[in-house]
Amino acid sequence: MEVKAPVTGVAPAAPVFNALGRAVALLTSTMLCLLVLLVATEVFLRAIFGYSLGFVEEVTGYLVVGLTLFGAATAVRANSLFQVQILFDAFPFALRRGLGMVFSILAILICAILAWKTYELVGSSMSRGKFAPTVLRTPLWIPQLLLPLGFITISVFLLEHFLLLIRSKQDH
Amino acid sequence: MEGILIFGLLVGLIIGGMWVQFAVASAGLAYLYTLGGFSSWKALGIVSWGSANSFTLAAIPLFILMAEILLGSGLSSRLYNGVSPFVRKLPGGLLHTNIAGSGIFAAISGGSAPTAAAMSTVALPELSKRGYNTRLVSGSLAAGGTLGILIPPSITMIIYSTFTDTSIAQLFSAGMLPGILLAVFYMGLIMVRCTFNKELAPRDDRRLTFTELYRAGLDIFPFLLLIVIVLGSIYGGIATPTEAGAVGVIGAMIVAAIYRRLSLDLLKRALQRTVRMSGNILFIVFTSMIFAYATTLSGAGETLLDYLQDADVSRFVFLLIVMAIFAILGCFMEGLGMIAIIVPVIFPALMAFDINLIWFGVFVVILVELGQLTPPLGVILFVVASSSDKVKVEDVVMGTLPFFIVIVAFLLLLIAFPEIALYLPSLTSG
Repeated sequence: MEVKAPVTGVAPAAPVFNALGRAVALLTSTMLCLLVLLVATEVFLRAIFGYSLGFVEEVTGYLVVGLTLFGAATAVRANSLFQVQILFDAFPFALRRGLGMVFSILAILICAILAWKTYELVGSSMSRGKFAPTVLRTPLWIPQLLLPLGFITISVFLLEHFLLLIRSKQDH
Repeated sequence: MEGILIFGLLVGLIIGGMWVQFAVASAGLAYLYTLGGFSSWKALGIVSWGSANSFTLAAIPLFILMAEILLGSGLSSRLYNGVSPFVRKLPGGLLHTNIAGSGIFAAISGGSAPTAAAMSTVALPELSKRGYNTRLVSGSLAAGGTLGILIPPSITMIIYSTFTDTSIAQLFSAGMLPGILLAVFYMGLIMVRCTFNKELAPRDDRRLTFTELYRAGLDIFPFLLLIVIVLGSIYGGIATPTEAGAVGVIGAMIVAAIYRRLSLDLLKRALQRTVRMSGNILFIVFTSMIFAYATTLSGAGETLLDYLQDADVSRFVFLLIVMAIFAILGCFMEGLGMIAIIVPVIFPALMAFDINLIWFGVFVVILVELGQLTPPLGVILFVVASSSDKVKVEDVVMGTLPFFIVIVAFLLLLIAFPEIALYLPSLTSG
């Protein structure tokens, strides 16, 4: 399993992709810092004062949802998702480019299906007024919204990958 | 029949070069479609939410961040220097540092790649310069690196626990003794080879002085303290494995600060790398959950069990079959993906054969270790080879072969004596 270097080249809407990339990087880094602080504070308070915040497990779960999808989006942009390249690399450039485009479209399609289904879940939670059975009583549609938003973000970066492949004239 | 076709599709997409996560998701969605058309996608929303919304999985980014901070701070050279005086007089000399250092780094890192990277970047150039056999050096580093997923904390074990609903604390304790034993066997192999072939490693007969001992102790102490904090908090009942990850991150930052290596730039790079790596791992778990949902709906596990019972397969033969499947898939699949795809399918068979799930967790982790050393795609081989311009992947592969045999022998030993993995969990609770 090799990790490839980020795809290089100029996408037609590079500034938009770059801005989104920076926003996602900032969002995920913030989520990770929050995760460390939240969980470490809980352990500290419980061990020293015997006091629990009571909402750490719930919020941690939401942060994991965010880190899963937006983290995957950053991995897509860095072209570092797990990929078996031994056969792929042996193909001629035209075939690799063609396969890469097919894979990108297929992946976008999968994200679209998952975004659609998870958006239905958000709608259902909202219309039924579902709350988390915790002290925060968080309306579930709010954290669940991370799912379709995450899939859309992954799709955008997959689209960037696709556009870069269209424009690529030589091996990168 | 559909199951075989879908599995063929999955393998085809992966070998064809599709991103593993999307290959698994494609196969999962296609499998669901074959079971009941578009209506079988109905529950995808709630399955997605249930798969991603997990407190347990938070341990993965936390343990990765802890290792990244230590790796980025360059403290692995201190660990290396700290261990070397204790082992240099053994036949094989500093080669044992590769194993012992990896064992210690494994206890503060959740994965094999960071463990192998931490030791290789320091040891490979240094030992090659001193006249050690390059193949044996790289082989010992690769083998030592695999201890990263066996000695707790272990991301692979966290993922296994997600799919089997087993206790992470018990899995961690189950991996401890096999991890130490495997390290001892690796060191035994080095000693035997270097005793019979003195060309492999130069001899160092210098006596260990008190000053050296004191300095070495100072170098190792922060790492030992971190191990005590992380594992001690779990088994002392202070923290869950996930919480221990956060405590470990704070501990790693304190250690880096003590050695004046902590900086904003280091933290920024560690955060960015952690986000990318954990996104990669968490997303494969997520898509595998969709695949696992499809296999559960299809009853593929029960069908497999019926087949095994009809064929009158014994427990031992079943385990050999599992070993063979992991060995074959390990040639072209990533270890975490293998666990996520295979374990849900064989779960009913594990229950029927009355196989202890904690023991099987250790067994599977060692199988994944083998996959990490199997060419052409063993990730550790590339990590070690990339640490020095003078070492080729072929050298690492050849150097790893004897250790590979030790691991296979150890698996058979684990089947014969399951207590090796089950003794420590029997002393812990939860």
